[in-house]
Amino acid sequence: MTAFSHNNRWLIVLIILTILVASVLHLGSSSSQVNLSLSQLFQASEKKALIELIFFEIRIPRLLLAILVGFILGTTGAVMQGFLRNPLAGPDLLGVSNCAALGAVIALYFGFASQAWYLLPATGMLGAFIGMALIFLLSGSNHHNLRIILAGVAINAFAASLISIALNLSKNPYAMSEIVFWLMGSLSHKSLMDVGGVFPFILVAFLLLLSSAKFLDALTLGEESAISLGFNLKNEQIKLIIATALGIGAAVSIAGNIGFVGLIVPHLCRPLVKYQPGRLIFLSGLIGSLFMIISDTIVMQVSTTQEIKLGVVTSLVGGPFFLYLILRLGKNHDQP
Amino acid sequence: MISLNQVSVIRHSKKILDNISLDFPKGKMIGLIGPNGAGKSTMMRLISGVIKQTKGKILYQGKKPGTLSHKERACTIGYLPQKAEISWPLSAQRVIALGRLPYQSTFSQWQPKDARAVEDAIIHSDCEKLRHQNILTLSGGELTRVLLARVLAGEPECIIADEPIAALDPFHQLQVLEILKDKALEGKTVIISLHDLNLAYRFCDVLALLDEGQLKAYGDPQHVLTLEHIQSIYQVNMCWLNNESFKALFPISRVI
Repeated sequence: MTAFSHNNRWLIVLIILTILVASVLHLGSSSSQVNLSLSQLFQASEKKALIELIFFEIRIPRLLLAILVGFILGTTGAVMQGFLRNPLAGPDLLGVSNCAALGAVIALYFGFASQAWYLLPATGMLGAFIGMALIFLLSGSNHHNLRIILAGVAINAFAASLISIALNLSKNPYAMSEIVFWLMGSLSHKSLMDVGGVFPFILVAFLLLLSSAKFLDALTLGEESAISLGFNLKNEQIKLIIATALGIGAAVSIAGNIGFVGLIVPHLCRPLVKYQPGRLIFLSGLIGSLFMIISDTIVMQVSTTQEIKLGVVTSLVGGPFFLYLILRLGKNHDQP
Repeated sequence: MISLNQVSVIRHSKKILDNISLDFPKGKMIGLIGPNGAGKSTMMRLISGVIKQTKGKILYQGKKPGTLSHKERACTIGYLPQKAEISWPLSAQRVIALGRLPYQSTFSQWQPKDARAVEDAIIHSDCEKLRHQNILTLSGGELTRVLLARVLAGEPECIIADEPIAALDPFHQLQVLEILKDKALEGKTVIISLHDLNLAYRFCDVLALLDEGQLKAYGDPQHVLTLEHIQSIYQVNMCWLNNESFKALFPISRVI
C-alpha cells in the first residue's frame, strides 16, 4: 500500500538518525572493563593503538551484531504476528528461538561447535527450521490460529526441557556454565569474523520476510480472501519457515536466546504504520535494532564484576510489557 | 464466462457438490439459492479458487482448464466471503486498496491506475464518508459496503458474493443488491448466494437451486421458484402474494 507512504519516510529517517545517535553512545560508552571515550580515537597518545584495537576488534563488532540481531528479531516477530494474525506470536513464544538454541546447545555439548566456525550457526538454523516446520505440521492443514500458538507453546516447552537435560547431564561444570551464560544471550566477545558469518543469512532472511509484505496485507482479510487475491499459501508458508530458520538460527547461534524483542517491537511499531502488516516489517527491524543497541548500552553501563547478560535485560523490559499486553487484549481491540 | 463441467467436491467421503454442470453467463446476475448446507458456499469458494474440486473441470472463458495462474484468476474473479474476518484495525480506504493486490508484484509500487480504481470503487459503493474510519468500528451495513468496494477495486470480470446481505437491514440489503445489479448491467458476471427468495426473485436474472450438493433447478427465476420446488427442497409451504407491480412469496407452514 505504497499509495499512502510518503508521510512514513520522515519517520524512517528520524529513526535511522536515532539509531546513529544510540550507536555513537554505544561505541563510546565506558564499561567496567575499559574506561573509554570516543574522543580518545582522535587524540594522539601512547595508548592510541590500544584504543583503536578496542574500537575495531571489540566495540564495532558488538554494535554491528546488536543492529543485525535486533533487526532480524524485530522483522521476524512482525512477520510471524502478521502471518498468524495473532499479537502474541513471536520467535520466542512459539519456541523457534529455543529450538535454535537446542540445536546450538547440542553442537556445544558434543563439542563439534569448535571444529568449524559454521557448525554452530548451521545447527542453530537446523533447530529453528525443525521447530518452525513442526509448528505448521502440528497445527494441521487449516492453520487454525489457536492451534498454531498451542503447538508453539508445546514445542517451546519441549525444546527447553531438552536443553535442561543437556545441562543436567553435563559432566564438566565449566562447559555447563558456558552453555548457561551463552543461553542468556550476549553480544560481548565477538569479532568481525562472527559478524561476517551471520550477516549473509540475516540479509537473505530479511529479504524473504520483506517479500511476504503484500501477502501479509492480504491476510488482513483472512486466508480465503488472501488466496482469492492470488496468493499461494503453501509458498508463503515455506518462505516463512526458511526465513525464520536462517534468521533466528543465525541470530540465536551468535547471540544466544534474546527474548521478547520479536514480541514487543512489532507492538510498539504498529500504530506508527497505521496497523498495516506489510509496512510493519521494515520499521520493526529498525526499532528492533534501536532497542537492542540501547539494551546493550545498558548492559555495558550497569556492569558489575560479571557482566549482566543482554537477554536478561531485554526480558526485564519485555516481561512487564507482555503482561500489559495481555491485560489490554482482554479489554478492547486496538484503535488506529 | 465461467462454466462448471461435471464438478464434484468430496470431503471426508461426503459429497458436498455432486456432479454439477452449470454455466455462469456474462452480464447476468446469477443467484445461488438453497437451504443451509446445500453447497452454495462451497461452489463459490471453488469458483474463486479457494478450494479445489475433487472431480470435473472448471472452464474460465477463453482459457484451457488448468492454465489460469493464481494472479490471473485473482484479477478475473473478485470474491466476497460470507464471514468478514479482519485482523487489524485498518482504515476503510486501506482495506479497499487491498483489492489491487492481484495487479501488483512482490516489490512493485502503487500506480496511478490503482488509485483510480480504488476511488471508483469508493464512489460506486458509497464509501466516501467511511474512508478514514477504523474498519473494526463500522456497522454491518457499512462493513459490507467497504468489503464490496474492496472486491470492486480489483475490477474483476466476475464478482462472487457469498450471502452479502444476510445480516443487513432492508435499506442496506437493497443498496448492496443495487450495486451488484449495476455491475451485471455493465457486463460483469455477478454470482450471489441468497436466503431471501423474494429478493432473489426480484434482482437475479438467473437462479440456480441447490440441495444436498445437487443442482435441482436452473434458469429463469419464475421457473426455478415454483411452489413445488420450494415445498420439496425447503420443506416449507408458501404462496404467492400479488399486487399490481410485484408478487412475493409468503411462507405459510413447515411441511411435516
